[in-house]
Formats: sequence, structure tokens, C-alpha cells
Amino acid sequence: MELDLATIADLFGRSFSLWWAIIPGIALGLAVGVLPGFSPQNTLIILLPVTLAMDVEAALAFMISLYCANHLSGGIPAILVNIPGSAGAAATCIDGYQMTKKGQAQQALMLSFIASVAGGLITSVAVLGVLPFLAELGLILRSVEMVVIILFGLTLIAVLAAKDMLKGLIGGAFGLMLGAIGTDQVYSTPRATFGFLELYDGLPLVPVLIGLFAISECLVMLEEKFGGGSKPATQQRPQWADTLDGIRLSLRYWWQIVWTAFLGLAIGVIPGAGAYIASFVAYQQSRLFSKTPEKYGTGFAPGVIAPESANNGVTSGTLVPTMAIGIPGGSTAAVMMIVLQYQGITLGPRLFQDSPNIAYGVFVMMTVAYIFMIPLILPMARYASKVVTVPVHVIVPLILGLTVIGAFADREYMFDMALALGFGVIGYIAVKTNYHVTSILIGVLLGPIFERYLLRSLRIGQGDIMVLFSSPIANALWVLLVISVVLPIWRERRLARRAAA
Amino acid sequence: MQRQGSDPPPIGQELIIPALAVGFTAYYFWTVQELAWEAKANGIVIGAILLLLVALLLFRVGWRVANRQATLRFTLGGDPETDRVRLMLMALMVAFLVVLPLLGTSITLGLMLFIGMWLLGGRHWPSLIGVSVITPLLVWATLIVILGTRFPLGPFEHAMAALFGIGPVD
Amino acid sequence: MGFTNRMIGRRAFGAGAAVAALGAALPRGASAQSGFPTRNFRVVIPTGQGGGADRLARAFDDAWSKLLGGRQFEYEFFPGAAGQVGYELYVNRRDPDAYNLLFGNMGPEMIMYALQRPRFRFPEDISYFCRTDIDDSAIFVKNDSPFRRVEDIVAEAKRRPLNVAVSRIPHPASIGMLALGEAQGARFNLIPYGGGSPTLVAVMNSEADIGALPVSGLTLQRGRLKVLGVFARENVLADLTENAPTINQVFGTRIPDLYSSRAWAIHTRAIERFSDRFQILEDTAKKVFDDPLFKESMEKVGQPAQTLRFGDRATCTEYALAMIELANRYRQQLSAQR
Repeated sequence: MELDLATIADLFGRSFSLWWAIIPGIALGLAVGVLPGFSPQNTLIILLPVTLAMDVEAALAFMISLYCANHLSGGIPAILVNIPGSAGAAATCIDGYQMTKKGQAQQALMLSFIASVAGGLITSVAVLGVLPFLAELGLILRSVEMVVIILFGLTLIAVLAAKDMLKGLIGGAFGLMLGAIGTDQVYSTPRATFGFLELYDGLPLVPVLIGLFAISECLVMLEEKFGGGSKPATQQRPQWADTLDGIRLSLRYWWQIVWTAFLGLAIGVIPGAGAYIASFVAYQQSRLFSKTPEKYGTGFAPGVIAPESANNGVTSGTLVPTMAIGIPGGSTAAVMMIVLQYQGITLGPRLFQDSPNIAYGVFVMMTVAYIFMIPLILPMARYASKVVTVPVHVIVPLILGLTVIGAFADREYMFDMALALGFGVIGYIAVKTNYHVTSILIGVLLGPIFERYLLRSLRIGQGDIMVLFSSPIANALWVLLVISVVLPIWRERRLARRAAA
Repeated sequence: MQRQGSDPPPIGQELIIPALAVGFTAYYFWTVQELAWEAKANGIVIGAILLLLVALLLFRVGWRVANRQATLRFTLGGDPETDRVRLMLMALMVAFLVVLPLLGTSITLGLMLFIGMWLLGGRHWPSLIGVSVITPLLVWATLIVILGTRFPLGPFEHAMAALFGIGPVD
Repeated sequence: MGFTNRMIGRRAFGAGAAVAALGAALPRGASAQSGFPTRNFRVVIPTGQGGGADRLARAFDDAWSKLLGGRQFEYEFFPGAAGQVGYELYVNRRDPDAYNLLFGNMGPEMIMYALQRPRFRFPEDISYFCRTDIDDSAIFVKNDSPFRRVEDIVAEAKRRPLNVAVSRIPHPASIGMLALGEAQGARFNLIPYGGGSPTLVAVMNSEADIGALPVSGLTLQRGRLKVLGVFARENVLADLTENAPTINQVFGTRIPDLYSSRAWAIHTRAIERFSDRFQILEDTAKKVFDDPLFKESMEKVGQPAQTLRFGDRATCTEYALAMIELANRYRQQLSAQR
């Protein structure tokens, strides 16, 4: 698997010459990412007739650009209207929307774009260097380790609930219970489905996301028009100064971008672990290591950077097991595999000998796709932020209509539209009574995978709960987990004592 | 809600989410009672934690009510006029779902947008009509025709398919 | 996908993308055959995108589409509850007009039918009419596993329960492990990973001691994984599995053949109401097996040609009923109901 500079240069040259496939891929990916309900894997499935008929390298370049751009643009609605375009951007809402409320929409968008592009760029370059090692990482982290990694994400429930711990935890536990809807992991027996076929596969993420965030936010937004509630400071015109300010902030927190991107990469390498785990864990870790954790949740730049950089780090990671062991890291990667196999390319260890132009090429293409995104982001931040100047009486019906349609598009069930409305009402009540909607969402997102890995571990331990502490890596992670829970408490105590003194 | 004089603030609304959560947990327990431990372990542990947390909350609420720091009255903090618009908007969305299979995606979306904007006080006719005509057309062209998502079809979609051969037939 | 393998280049891309995307929607001229089919087919797949059924269906329809006047197959994926979601949805919410089909994995899905008692009846509501392959269940280990032969596995499993990675508990391979354990007094602890790929990973990273899966997916991982035995009368993939023996050969047991079989299915009502249409589907599906293109596309997606074996409606029904019976025999171990 030796790689010399000449090969790399050649691969870069070839990837740049595929601009005609990369640019439409980016454009489509950006559009699809903004709309909740339209996932990259569904889009790629629909476009299979096109990609199967394309030359294999061009098809790959197209699919990869679409996939990466999709992860970039999910943060746009999260920041501007508190509606994550995909589950991976849910953590971006926490600080991104607060920045918009403070009138810093453009800065937040710049932070999110730069973090996404830089995070994706750094990790895709890094993957080229350490691909063989990374492929092994996917095999080192097993169910037990995954249980602990997901717990890192779940501790975010407690972190978000800092204001009223009891309510926050109730919200999180409610979400986890809701996440337990659907068939069990071992016997595939349906539980708590109210008899709805549509719930057998678990509570669908997209309608829940749309309900809790988009619809409830619409109901809240009405206050701006009628209730005389505080109007967000958004009436100013977009200014290049704000864009530059965003760049300045990103440079200031460059180290955040780097390490959260690598965190995303590591989580992305694990088959089955998605972008949303990475973004929540990154947010939680970023807050943990911050000197000013109390600023998170109030519109703090690193709170936008961490999840965005991590969820683009994931894009580089998911393709690693796909290429190196022939096992897709996620559903988008599975669709890419169909195209590769259709063209007669066998994925797996031999790929590096048989067709290095594909094996390494995909990561070069990814790098190039991110490079192509750079010139797009400056104007995009400037003009996208104009959305917040659309009057409430227009934007509220538009968001309601388009997101409810998005709720349908994901699985094509009418049921999902009604579900989104139901969760809209729950979300609105939760917002108004200070139960954090993000806590509920974290429960719904992480609950099912937590149960999956936990039960797998317990089955492996043949009923012995000590199996959870049976591996050195998992034990190290447990220690880190305990530290990350205890440290903030200890730090707060110390600050309080100092303040008292 | 403005607090008047020494009236304690209402706190009843804080019990809505816990009530939903407890109700759901009870239902969950009922559906898994006959299943093997693997199928219910996770849910039962989380459910037990949830019940404990809610019990603590009830204790806190009870204590505050007993000490006259709060009352069990109920409010979501919205003024009556906004709440009326909210209810109408949600009713509109329910109507949207009911009408959708009959009139198809494009027409229903257009109507919903128009009525929605009107409900929220939009009276600038050109923009009302513009938004509620252009948006459904965009949705139809991109999602239904190009991406082929199977949204409910109605007279408009069928007419386009029959007259110009654009879009899905069935 | 009825697309030829012509490569699309840069110039054609813009136009090509639009045309292909519109392709499904635009009405076509008169089809090659009279009457049926006049439009595209819609196929429900009861497992996820990019899974085994998805790949096989697409490899199959290349050749089939040619015989059906170029009509295309549009796929919808409804995974969940071991296939229950897809089947119920197909039977209850799709028109029985012979344009709506289902492509599934008969083995696991009929076990699901027996265990979960879904809201449809077999074969009264749905009939399989074209089996595409016979994919024998196999026991496999990591290449550097201490277990070199299937006898080693059974010997160890008599001492302690061995962890076996399987795709699902209701699956022919899982029944095979239970039957083997029962016959030999060995204990196997089945751990479901919810799909072929994660099961492979679980064995590769040594999370589970051994694995049991349909054999064709294992042949792609030669070098990392080693097949130790198959649950079949003979090992048709002997050359791809280092001559792994059959379980019955080694232990003198009489475990029935346990294989996965992907098949096309249709509403039984559609067969009755549109017998002419069904006739065309049945005949053309059988002819696909004579097309060299079919074998070629199957091999491309990693399905060895030896596993491709046509089975008609009667064969499929017989197999499905046998699976239901087998599942009922092992109900206690396979079901969550206590």
C-alpha cells in the first residue's frame, strides 16, 4: 500500500478534471442538506440510474461531493431558524441559533462552513496518510467500547440541563423511552408501537426532528408577530464585515476545528456509527475542555465549530471500512458500494493492489470536493443569512409546509407527517415549560443504538454485566467518561468557592 | 403571564411533559410484560429512572404549592390572541393532511400556504399569491418530477401528466 | 435498471442526468409486448438500501427488464421487524395488479412469518414465483482463529457456550446452529447483529467466537475469514471455501438443508385476477436464467454463479412452508415471547 507523491499528484490531477461531476454533486448535496427529510442515501438511490451509467470515477466523484456537501449544509437551517437539516446538525442548533438571535447569523454560518470544510479537508488528507491503520481502528472498537462512546453523547443531556437538572433529565429519559419504541434488537419483536406498522422500525428520526425543532419553532416564532416577544436582532443588512468576523473567529479556534474533526473521523470509521453521535460527542467534549464552559448554549463560537467539524470528519471516516474491508460504514456508503460493485470493483483489502486509483482516489476526490466548496462559502454565508429577514407571516407557513413535506419524503408514509405535527406540539410544550427539546432528541437519537450495543455486549457476556468492563480500551474510556462527568462539577464547585471567598 | 401582586406563579404546565412520559412508560411496560429479558431490560431500567425523576419533580412541585410559592394553575405563557392563531395554524395543518390525498400535493400545499399567510395577517395580495403558487410549482418540479418522490397526486399532477406527459402517471 | 453499460462522459452528463431522472416519469411508446407491461414495476424490498436483496434484485432486473419491453423496476425499501414491515405493507397497501412486486429473502422472512404472526397469510395473500438463488448457511471463523475445523468448535461448545454472530435470530443459519447444538449437546449463544455486514465485522474483530451466515457473502472475504462447514447436502462452493465439509458429513447428523433463498413474490390475488400478466412475469423471469448478462451481473455483485438456481412457484411454496414448520419447532429459542 505504498503511496508516492507522483501517484498522489496524478490522483489530484484526475480528480480536478472531474469538476463537471463534482460541482453538480456539491450543488445537489447543498440543496438536499438544507431540507430536513432528504437524506444523501435516498438521493443517491434515486439517482442510481445516472451514476450506474457514468464512468466509475466520475460517479464516485459525484456521489462523494453530494455526500460531503450534504453534511456541510445541514447546519444552515440549524443556525438560521433552529431547524437542523439532518440529525448530524442537531447539535449545531444549540449555539448556532443563539448566535442568530444575537444578530450574528453570518458569523455563525461562516464558523459552520469553515469548520465543515476545514474539518473535512484535514481529515480526508489525513486518511490518505494513515489509511491502513485506520482500517484496523474499525475492528478494534467493539460493542462494549461503543456503549461507552454513546454514553459520552448521553451525558450531554445532563450538561444541557444545567439550569434545571431534574427537568432536563426527565426530558432526556422521556426521549430514551421514546427511542425504545420499535422491535427489540435480539428477537425483532415489536414493542410500544401502538399497533402502527410505521413504528416497527423505531421512531423515525426525521419526523421527530422536524416536529421537535421546526414545527415547535414555528409556533414559538408567532410571538415575534403577535406576542410582542423579543425580536431577534436580525434586521441589519448582511455585511462583509460580519463575514470577516466569522473568519477571524474560526482562525481563533482553529485548534477546536482540528481535534473535533479527528474525533469525527474516529467515530466515522466505526461501522454503523453515524454523524449525529459524532456531533453530540464533539460538542460535549468541546465544552468539557473549554475554559469557559458556561458560555456554551449562549451563542458561543466553539459550540458551532465542534459539531460541524466533527460531522464532516465523519464523511472521511465512513468510507474507510467501505474501501478497506468491503463493509459499508453507513447507508450512504452502502449505496456507493452498489455502484462500485456494479462496475466490477471488489472492495476490501485487495482493492489497494487491484485499483489504487479507486482506493486512494476516493479520499483524493473528497479532498478536491472540499477544495471546490471553499469559494462557495463566502457568498453563501452572506446571502443565506438573509433568510432571517423574511417576515414571520411568510416564513412560518413556508417552514410548516416544506418540513411536513420533508417528513413524508424520507420514508413516504403519510403517518410520518402526522407524527411530525404531534412532535411539534410536544416540542412546543417542552420549550415553553423548560424541558430542553435537544435533550429529548438526544434520547430519541442515541437511545436505540445505545440499546443495540448494550444488549449485544450483554449477550456476549452471556448475562454477566461485568462484560462492560472486560476490555482495556473500554476501561480507559470508562475512566475518561467518569472524568468528563466529575470534572465540570468539581470545577464549578471550585469556582463557586472562589467566588464566595 | 404577568404575575399580579403576591399571587404565586402557575406551575401546572410543568407537569404536562412528565405526564406524557409517565403515560408512555406505563404503556411501554404493558407491551413488554411477556417478553424475554433482552427485549425489555433497557426500557425497564430507563423507565424506572424516569419514574423516579418524575416522583422527585412531583415532590418539588408539591412542596412549592404547599408553601404557596406556586399554584397548580396552568399556562403556556402565550397571550390569548397568539394562542388562537397557534390553534388555527395547527388546525390548518391537520386539514392539510386530510385534504392531501384528495387534492394532491401541489394544490393542497398552495392552499395551505395561502391560508396560513392570511391567518398570520399577510394582506399583501401579490406576495400571498406569488408564494402560494411558486412554492408548490417548485416542489412539484423538483421533488415529484425530477426526484420521483411518491407524494400524493391530485388533479394538478394528473393534468400535467395527461396534457404534457410530465410527471408520474399512477 | 434497464440501462446499458454505456459510459456517460462529461458532455452527456448534464443531459443524461435530466433524462435519466425523468426516465421513470415520462411515458414511453408502445412496448415490445402487447398489453402487459404498459408501465414500470414497483418493488418492495423488506430490508435496507444497499443490503443483499437490493444488490441481487438490481443484478437480476437488468436481464429481466429486456424481456419486459424495457420496463424498469423502481425500488422502495421498508426494513423493520425482520421483514414484517415490508411484507405487511406490500400485502395490505399495494395494489394487486401485477405491477407491484416484492423481492425478499424467503428463509428468514418465512421464519419471521411463523414467529411474529404478521397481518397477512401465506400463501393465501402472497406467493413467491421465482427463486433466484440457493445460498447455503455456513459456519465461519476468523482466519487466525484457534478453531481449525468444525469439530474443534463443537468440542469447545460442549465445554462452554460459544458466542455465535448471526444476522438475526429468526434466520436459517441460526436454526442450523441450534440444531447442531441440540444434536451434539453443544451450547451456542446466538448474538444477532441485524445484517450480514455487521456480522462479518463481529467475527473479524473477535467480538464473537464464530459466525453463521449464508455462504456467498463469505466468499468475498477469503483471506480474512475461513468457512468451516455448510448446512447442506453438498458444498457447491467447495472451490471458494477451501473444500469446507458439510455439517451432516462430519457429525453424521440429519439437519435439513438450511439456506437463504431470495425470490420474487406477488400478491396471490394478482395471480388470480390477472393470470395473463402473471403468466408473462413467470415465463420471462425463468428466461432470465438463460441470459449470460444475468450471470455476469450477479458475479459482479459478488454472487457466485453456482448459487444461482431458478425455482418455480411450487418449489418456492414448498420451501417456504418447510421453513415455517422448522421455525415453529424452534419457537422457544427463536421468539421473545415467554
